[in-house]
Amino acid sequence: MTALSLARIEVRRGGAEVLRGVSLEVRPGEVVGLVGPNGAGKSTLLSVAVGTLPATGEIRLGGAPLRSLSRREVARRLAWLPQAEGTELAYRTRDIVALGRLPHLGLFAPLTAADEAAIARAVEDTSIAPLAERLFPSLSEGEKQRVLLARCLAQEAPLLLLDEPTARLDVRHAFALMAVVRERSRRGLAVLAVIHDLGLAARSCDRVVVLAEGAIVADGPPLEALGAESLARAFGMRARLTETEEGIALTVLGPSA
Amino acid sequence: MRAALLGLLVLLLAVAISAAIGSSALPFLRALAILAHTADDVRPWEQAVVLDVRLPRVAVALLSGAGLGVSGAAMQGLFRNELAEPGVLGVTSGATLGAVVALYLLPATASPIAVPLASFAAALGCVLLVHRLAGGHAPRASLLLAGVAVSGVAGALASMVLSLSVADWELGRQMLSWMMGGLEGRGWAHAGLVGPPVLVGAALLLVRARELDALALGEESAVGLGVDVARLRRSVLVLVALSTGAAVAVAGSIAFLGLMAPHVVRALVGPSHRRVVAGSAIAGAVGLVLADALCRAVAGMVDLRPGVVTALLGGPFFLALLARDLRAVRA
Repeated sequence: MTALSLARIEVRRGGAEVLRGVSLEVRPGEVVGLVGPNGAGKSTLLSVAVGTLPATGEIRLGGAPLRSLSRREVARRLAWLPQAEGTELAYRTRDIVALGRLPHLGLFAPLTAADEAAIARAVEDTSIAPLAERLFPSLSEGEKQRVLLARCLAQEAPLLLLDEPTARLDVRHAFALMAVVRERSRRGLAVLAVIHDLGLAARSCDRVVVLAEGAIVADGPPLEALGAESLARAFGMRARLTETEEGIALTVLGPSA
Repeated sequence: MRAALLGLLVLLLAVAISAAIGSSALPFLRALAILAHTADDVRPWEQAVVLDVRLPRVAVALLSGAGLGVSGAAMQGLFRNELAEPGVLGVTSGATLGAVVALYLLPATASPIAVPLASFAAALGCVLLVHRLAGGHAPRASLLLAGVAVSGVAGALASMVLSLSVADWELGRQMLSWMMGGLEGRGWAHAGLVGPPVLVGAALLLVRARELDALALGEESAVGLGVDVARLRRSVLVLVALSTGAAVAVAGSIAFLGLMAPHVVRALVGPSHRRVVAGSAIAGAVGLVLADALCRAVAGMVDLRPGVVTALLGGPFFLALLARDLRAVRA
């Protein structure tokens, strides 16, 4: 069973075709990186999968058609970390993580033991226990992003969508964040992440999907998908991929001829 | 839980103080004793002053203040803007316009029901308009500007209706009193009018509080957490119009109370919307009950109105928040 299945997705915006027949599947236990130049339609594709953007084509979450699901049911099937969100209000870090349980709660029902356990797992996996009592606005960018990721993990949905989760993080925090995501995927979580940094995508994804001008250029293991041909087509760039002991390293060489 | 009890205790205290203050020659402590049913040989007029004149007026202040408090809390949550409140965003002006138009067009006998209905309808119209103009991803300042514009137009229309009806002295006086905000002569009938909509509004906003917490993270985050944002928005706007409309229909326009109450509550118990909505009901109630008490305490010297008191306190409060906001933008 696929966690997410998109078939022949098309989106038009103001007459322009933003997505042109994109088909993509994400299975439990794999981290899929979505890369591509600016304006390729990466974030649009995530919005389609979440259901906030109307599109033609077929969208299935865990086998069920998206349009047959309520917002709440969708939230039990996928967790979504959008770009650049957060709050200036003085919420405690722990309360932010606990919000992840919202799709599972009744109107006035308090958190159950199962909810508390899910929150504890998310806090543990993202190593934010020392921050639990801190106020969210007082955290650094890296800490905030870890807390927001913990919020998504606490949701315990089988699918996780990440929209440039490392955009505002330095290289160390970026690697650490993706390591957390990889660890969860090893336990069965399906992940689809828009990633700008090709090196990070090559290193931390099981599969990479290259999107350019609204269509998929390549879809496969990083070594294949980020090969010379697809990088030239999507980015007009050349890069060298080498397998090291720690994973795949990608070095950008320069514009392709 | 402790905070809630403390809040209710403060409210009780405010009610007692307010009910014991007035123009009749009744000592403060004796009035308190009558309230507590511990006074000896109470004369009928004393009992009437406290229980039939002052207490209903206090009840109207309490309920209206609560309605404005929860409205402010819900609007700040919905618009994700701590400067939002019914007055600033023109909802109060809209409700006033509705009340004034109803007074002008309809016979006096129809007004007890027509006035609150009209002010609810006009409040709803204004809040929808402001939301339409600057509700979504518009910058924070646009929201305030939209509020200024809507408030200005509604205020001008209300003045126009007022000037049309100046010929009828009694009608003009009644309208002016509405526009200035006041609680003179409010009785149990008024309390019965404002009570149900405010209580229903507050209760249903409390039900939505968790979703407002999710929305605090951002619209997309809220969607990701299973919140139907469009539905949340619709219901919060209707409930805000209901509470504000009811409050304005019986107490006139009371400025800035809905702005201050949530800020005070957040500073005391944190930003969780369940606490902020419930706490703002109490804080708004305490605020208006005390503002009205102050007006009656100085009644011999100056004719002060509760709307003026809240505006004098709330105006500088609003400016201070705005200044803090601007500093944060520059930094």
